[in-house]
Amino acid sequence: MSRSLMRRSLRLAFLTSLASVFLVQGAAAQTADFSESWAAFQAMKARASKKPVTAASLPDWSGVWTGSPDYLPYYRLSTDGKLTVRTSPRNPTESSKQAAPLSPEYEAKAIQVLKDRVKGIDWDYVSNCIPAGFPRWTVSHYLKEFALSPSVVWMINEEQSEVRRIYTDGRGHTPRDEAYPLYEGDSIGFWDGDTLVVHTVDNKEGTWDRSGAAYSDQVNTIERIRKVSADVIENQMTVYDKVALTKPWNVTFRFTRVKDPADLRVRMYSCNENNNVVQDASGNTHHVLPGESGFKEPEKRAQQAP
Amino acid sequence: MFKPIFFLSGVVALLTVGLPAGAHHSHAMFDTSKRVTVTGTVEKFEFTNPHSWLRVNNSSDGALWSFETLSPSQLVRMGVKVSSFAPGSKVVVQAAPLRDGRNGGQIINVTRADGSVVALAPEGGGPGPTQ
Repeated sequence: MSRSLMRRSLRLAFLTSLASVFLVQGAAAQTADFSESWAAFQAMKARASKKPVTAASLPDWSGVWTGSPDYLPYYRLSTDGKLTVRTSPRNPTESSKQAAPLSPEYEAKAIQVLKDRVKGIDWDYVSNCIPAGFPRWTVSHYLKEFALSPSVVWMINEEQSEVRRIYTDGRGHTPRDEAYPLYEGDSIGFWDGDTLVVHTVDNKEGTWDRSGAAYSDQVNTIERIRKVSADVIENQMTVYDKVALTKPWNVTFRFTRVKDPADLRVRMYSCNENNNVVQDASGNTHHVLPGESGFKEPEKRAQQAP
Repeated sequence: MFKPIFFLSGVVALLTVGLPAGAHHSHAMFDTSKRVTVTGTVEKFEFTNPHSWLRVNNSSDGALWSFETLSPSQLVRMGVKVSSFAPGSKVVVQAAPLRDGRNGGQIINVTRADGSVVALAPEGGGPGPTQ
């Protein structure tokens, strides 16, 4: 095939895939439009290494890892009630030292969360034992494991045993008329050398952490995940969210290896095992103590539905 | 017997720097600016997700106190085991108390009968960008 013919067929394939997204999105409104990130993802795919992926060619991501909310900007209220970002050694990356390009609506939401906290009112949906969901999954400080195969990558979080499945067998996203909002979203990807490139759509809305910033149910992402040293896997994420952001946000996250104890194991985690946290009438977080109505005894956990 | 990690509270405090804040919920119900100290005996140490709990009978009046602490995998990373707070053993618990005055709090540290201090404060000791 001549070079120009190849270029033309690539362009045709790209336009066809773009058109198919628009067509199916027109048919279903349950999930967000992701045409912008899809175009960027397809362009990355067109440029990527075409070397076949085998079990032997996959990088070694074995071990136990953890994420951290420190890779997010940590928002604070200034004395005049504006949103500011902490810059401290606890913010290890450039992207954690600058505010995300929050839309006015989502900036106001973050300010409200921080104002409520000053008044002593604070509630996080994960307290109801609801999964953190993706993209918040990325910054959960609980343990993480990565299981790699040529056709699918499983990314496992200890918290709530939340598993992300990233299909790298060439399939597309779930057909739009079968798609619905998911905690982990719908992820497909490909290997570009030792970098896993992931496109995730069909997410639920959520909060990034407790410092106020949230994402809408329009959020979709591209991740470029690569082991950059023996103990660090880096995730360069571009977040697309037409409601929460004024433009796509580039943010770098890291997973760091947990070395001590060396034989640490990731366990199945049921939040309802011993969760006696409820939301009180004022909207605040409340603990139910032994002897009080509604207290769940951990010994009887098997009998107590949430 | 106890592990060398527990010999000096200062050493333990240093070791805990950089460990994750351990809460799947907000810290808002705890008054992290205050401390309550309870001397008593361990009723039980619940090694469970999302949070472990140390239940202590207060020596002065026999009241049951409930102290929340980190998740099992976080405790294991700090060298804390199920046997670290054996039922019936004497402890002095320092905690950030529940704001509403009930018998509970979030553990800052626990002094055991042998004098060893186990520091369990979440990083920053209070609200933060935690999970």
